[in-house]
Amino acid sequence: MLYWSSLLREEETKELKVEVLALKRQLSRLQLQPSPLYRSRELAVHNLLKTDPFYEETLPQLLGPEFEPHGVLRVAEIGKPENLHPFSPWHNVGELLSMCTLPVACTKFGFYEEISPGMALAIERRDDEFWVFLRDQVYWEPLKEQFFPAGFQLDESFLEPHQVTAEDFKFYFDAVMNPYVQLAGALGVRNVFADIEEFRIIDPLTFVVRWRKSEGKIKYTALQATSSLKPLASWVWQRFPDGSKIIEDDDYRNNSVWAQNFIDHWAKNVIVSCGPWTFGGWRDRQITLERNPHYQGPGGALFESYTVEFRAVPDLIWQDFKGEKIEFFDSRFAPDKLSELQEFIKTPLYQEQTPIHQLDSLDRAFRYIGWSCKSPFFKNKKVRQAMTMAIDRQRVIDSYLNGMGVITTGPLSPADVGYDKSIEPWSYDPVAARRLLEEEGWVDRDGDGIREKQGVPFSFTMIYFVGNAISKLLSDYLTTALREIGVECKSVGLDVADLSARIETKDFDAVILAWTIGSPPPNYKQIWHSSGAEQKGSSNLTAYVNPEVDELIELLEYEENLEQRKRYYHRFHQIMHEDQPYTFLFVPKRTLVYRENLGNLFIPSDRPDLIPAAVVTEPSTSIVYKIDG
Amino acid sequence: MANYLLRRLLLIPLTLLAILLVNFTVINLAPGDPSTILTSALSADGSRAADQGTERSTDDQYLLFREHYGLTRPILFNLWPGRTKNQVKEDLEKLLARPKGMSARAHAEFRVRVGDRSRYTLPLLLELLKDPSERSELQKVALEMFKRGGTLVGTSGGNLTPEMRSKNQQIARSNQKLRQIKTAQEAQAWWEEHRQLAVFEFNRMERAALFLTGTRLTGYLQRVLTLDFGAMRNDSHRLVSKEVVKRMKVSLTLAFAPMLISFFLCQLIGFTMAVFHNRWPDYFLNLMMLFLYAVPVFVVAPFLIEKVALPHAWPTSGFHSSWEVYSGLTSWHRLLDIALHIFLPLTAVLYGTLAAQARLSRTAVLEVLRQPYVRTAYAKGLAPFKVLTKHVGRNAAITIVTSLASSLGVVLSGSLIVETIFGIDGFGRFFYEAIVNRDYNVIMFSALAGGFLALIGYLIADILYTLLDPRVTFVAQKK
Repeated sequence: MLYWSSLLREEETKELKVEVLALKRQLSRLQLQPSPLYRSRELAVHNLLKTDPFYEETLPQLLGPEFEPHGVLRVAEIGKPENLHPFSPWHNVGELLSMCTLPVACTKFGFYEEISPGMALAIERRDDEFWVFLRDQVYWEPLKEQFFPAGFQLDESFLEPHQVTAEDFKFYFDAVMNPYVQLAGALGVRNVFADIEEFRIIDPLTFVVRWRKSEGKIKYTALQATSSLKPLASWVWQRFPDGSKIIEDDDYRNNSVWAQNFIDHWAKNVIVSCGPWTFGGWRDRQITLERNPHYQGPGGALFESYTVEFRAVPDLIWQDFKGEKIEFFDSRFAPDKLSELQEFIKTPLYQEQTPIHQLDSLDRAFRYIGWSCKSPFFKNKKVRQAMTMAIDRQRVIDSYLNGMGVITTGPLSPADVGYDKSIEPWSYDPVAARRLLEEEGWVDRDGDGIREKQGVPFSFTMIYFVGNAISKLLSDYLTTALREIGVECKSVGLDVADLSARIETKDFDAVILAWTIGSPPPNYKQIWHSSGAEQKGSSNLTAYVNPEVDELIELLEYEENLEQRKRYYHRFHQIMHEDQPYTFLFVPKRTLVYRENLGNLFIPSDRPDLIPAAVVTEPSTSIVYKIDG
Repeated sequence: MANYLLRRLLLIPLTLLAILLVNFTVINLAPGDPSTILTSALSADGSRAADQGTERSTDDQYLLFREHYGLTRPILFNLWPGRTKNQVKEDLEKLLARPKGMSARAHAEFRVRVGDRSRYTLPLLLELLKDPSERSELQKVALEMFKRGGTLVGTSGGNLTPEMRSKNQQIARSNQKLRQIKTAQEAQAWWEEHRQLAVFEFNRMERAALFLTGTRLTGYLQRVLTLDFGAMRNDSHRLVSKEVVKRMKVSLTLAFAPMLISFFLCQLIGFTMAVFHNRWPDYFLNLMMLFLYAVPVFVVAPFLIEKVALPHAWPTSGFHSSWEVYSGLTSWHRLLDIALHIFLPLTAVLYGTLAAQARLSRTAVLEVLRQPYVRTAYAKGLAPFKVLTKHVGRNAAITIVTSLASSLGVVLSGSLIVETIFGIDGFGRFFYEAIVNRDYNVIMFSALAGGFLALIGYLIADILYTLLDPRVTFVAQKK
């Protein structure tokens, strides 16, 4: 009896301790007061941020007055992230991180270049400076001991909420710019912030970003870049688990020892959250996010929780979807499953389930064959044009993608204003391709079926990612198609490590790859500027050089007139089409398959009744909710 | 017997050392290292993001990471401190102009290697930098390598002593200054100020010691001898040994259970086929086993999911239900939950083994049935059941035991397909992912664990021989 009663007492004490801790956290949330200097926000008379009517009016109407967030949104992804580091190269981690934090400003729902309040309520431009006024009373959610392995000692200070301040934004900027932080997530944005000359904190809720001027102008993308600044939890990433600081001098922009600890930080498998979602834990192959009840900004969570299951192969995701264990199936995982869907719909199992719907959209990506301009075979643009003409792209789309793609003519998304729709794709014409090759001196003189020039046979190596089924099929097709015009193509499938090494050193004749296209305005410097042609590891994979393209890219960096920008983009597109540094194969179509009990799944540009003049052509799952009943 | 067992047990560490050496060399010589995985921004569909600018690679890209994991050291022997000025110059010349026949990739790898060596050749690089007779291009590369060699890593992790903190501060300052060096004079000034921060100069004795100790292998061996198998690359708080053992439980369930079931079932089927040799039960079972043997697991597993799991709402993936559900179950219900989850994966693993072993068992039983001692047993009037169990069964089992026991090490990695299709987080998949991600600690520990299991399997098989066949003995026979 004594034993049992002592056990009960212990349980009660534990419960009491948990409650006291929770109360203490709530109290500390209330105790943090805004800085008196915070009133400077009122100085922002020319606020560049406009409220988003979709979140203010339309969404509440769509959800109805009685709506309360509920249910679990279950999704699945292929592969498994290495870690949840803020600068992880894994794109799905980036998505999870963006669900748990909020940048300075958000793009308006359904638009690309229009910004609305995010973590900042106001941004004001003063000459070459952007003054950013942050929201008050936004807190980082406390860490939980259960996020860490058993026995891991965590200082009490990490179990309390901390206010998000200007310090966290400056810390993010410093971490990105630290030359020793050689993580993909930092490298990816370092160039975006390279022209920031000064980052000044005015008060805990106000900071200033000063941009470098060139001929009296700052870059066109400066506002968007400033808006994309995120907070990085300084109370976590500057410290050891015992709460002590990693370095004493606070020089996070240059210190190599801090960078070393940051790369391998003790919290790199946790998402420190202050956004609509908070981190709920990572167990084996499942990450859970929970709705943040304290979140007050735009785009709050419409589910109680969100789980991501990591699967090794698309088949598992497909089985999960059929078994109603996840809510979506994205055709990007495996386009061939869409034909299986028609079969599944006829089965008795489906008759007992919630009906399935489909939503088609054009993906913001394109697949290409990159021709190395350093290779003796592809230096000449006429040869590259001949290669493109020898490839039947429509057949590729019909045979390998079940028609789920559109031929593209350049590195832009056909949905963007910069895409010149008047450009006709190179037609499939093997006869013209042969003629072009002959004009360039590639003739089959010895009758072995392979053309030669100065005794060198036209025989080249093409590399591709062996893990991608479409690339494998494409490489097989290309070998046959090019053989028909007297060109020998030896295709080599490589794993990620080998392929990356070959791409980084530009050690290939041709490569099959894909680019995902970012949100407008597109940045072409990364891939097409000649400054990267000879650089190891640059994204100018094909070592492409064209002075006119360089000039256009440089003009686009500072041009603010939208009509003029459009003209530059069109000219750029025309040059790309003419030069063919890539054979632009296709833009894939994407089908989102989902259950009927999900509401609000639509393509913004298709709903002018809800979002007038919307330009985004992809569905967003961030506003989806579960329909009861 | 005891002597024999002792000898066998003593041989295990030596065999494991050999396994370790072979695996370590092969893994380290394989192209790419963990840092190449970090550079890759390829997504599952083979695409890369074009929406963001990318900073150019530099010589110190992932240097901190490589230093931390000891990847900047040579693999087996360290001859780098003994390099001469001419050799260093030769290296720099090669960096300046790629030799004919050397691919761009090989040249890039050579650059990394020269960078790694520069830690040991810093004074020579400084000499070249200061030498006015040297070409400016060569001095430029020498300066790059000087900076590369001089960059140091601090002590990571918490619980730092004041001395460690102070050293970290000095290293950070030194690295920052090093980055800003543009001239030979600045390099000389840095050298004067910071040469004491690490050992950059080596005498004859130190070179001799470094020959064996300054390598990746000795670094790893030092840890292994203290049973420190390292941490996971993606989480330094998770020990490799714990993670492997955690998954081993799953994989052993998927390996042992089918092994035991198939041992008994294959004996039964094998016996039936042998006893009814060339009659319809033999033909029927033979055909069935042949059919099962011919159908690959990657066909059967999706079939089981599609036709059995989905229509009956059985679990299609995982070793147990989600953690939210599983943690709320009682022990008994947890067991049931696991049984329900692994029933189909077990079936997928089992049928192939069963088909193969049943045919082997048939042959073994037939072989024994033809032995003179079996005819003798029948002749002396023993009941057929007794002949089959006592004389035939025991002897035929030796073949099956050998086959099953030797496959112990292989079954772990063999469950990769089943683990992948059924989404089970087991050892096979864990090992495979470690290879793809170049997680050296996991690969090495997994290879050692697999090797250890295989050795134990052989030992058990040998012991079972003596139990099954009294003629087999480990005691030396007197002539």
